[in-house]
Amino acid sequence: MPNSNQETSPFKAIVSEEKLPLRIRDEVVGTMEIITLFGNIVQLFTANFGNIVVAMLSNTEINEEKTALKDNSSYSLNDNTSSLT
Amino acid sequence: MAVKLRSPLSDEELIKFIVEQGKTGMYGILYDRYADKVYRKCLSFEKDRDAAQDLAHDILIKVFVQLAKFESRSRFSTWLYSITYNFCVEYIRKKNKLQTSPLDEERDDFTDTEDPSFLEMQSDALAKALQKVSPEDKMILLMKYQDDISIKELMQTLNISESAVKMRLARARGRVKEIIDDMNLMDK
Repeated sequence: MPNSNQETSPFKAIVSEEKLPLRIRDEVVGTMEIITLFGNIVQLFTANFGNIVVAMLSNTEINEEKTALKDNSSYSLNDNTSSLT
Repeated sequence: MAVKLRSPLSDEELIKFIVEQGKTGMYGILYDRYADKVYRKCLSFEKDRDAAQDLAHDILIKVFVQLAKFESRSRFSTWLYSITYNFCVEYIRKKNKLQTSPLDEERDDFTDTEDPSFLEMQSDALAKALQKVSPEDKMILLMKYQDDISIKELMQTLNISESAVKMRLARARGRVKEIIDDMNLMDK
């Protein structure tokens, strides 16, 4: 509804006086919190990306070393066995 | 006024807190200052209240997401209203499946001869005429005459030259005047 104020400009006289329902505020704040949380997770991941990659690589290296050790030990066991027999 | 008492910080100071210090809760203060104004602008493009509320909701989220892009070249309100109007224009275009208007031909020699009688029209006639003009015409008229956005700010916001702003305004005024004249003729 146009407002009844006596405004000099007809453009100002046609401005509605309606208010946005409060539930919209709750919805906006809720969405905002999700965006912020998501942004924080992304930021955290980005800031620690280097460490994560290093950890992943070193984990791969450790696994590789473990496999190599296992292989070596089985060979040596076999070698020992063969030498014993 | 109540909001001002609660928070004497200016819009720009609030944005600094939100963007630089991550105090996102302070967006609530900006929301309280402008949400109703945004909604009323949406209502001037979309009469259906539910649809206008959805529009206002989406705009207020978009503004929060884009807050870091606000450069203080203009007032925050001008920046917010330009996002609001552009969002509404785009919405109306999609809704009515309208083509984008061709850009105004720019003329450096354009001189604005504003007719003072333009602002003497009846508000109900203006409201009817604004329903009939293109969303772009409505946008520039509301920015200039309802929000008191200066020509300089309109240049920055719309990213067009001064003569293009004046030309668009003159054309939009002309269209509104034509519609009102037609309505007056039909009444006689």
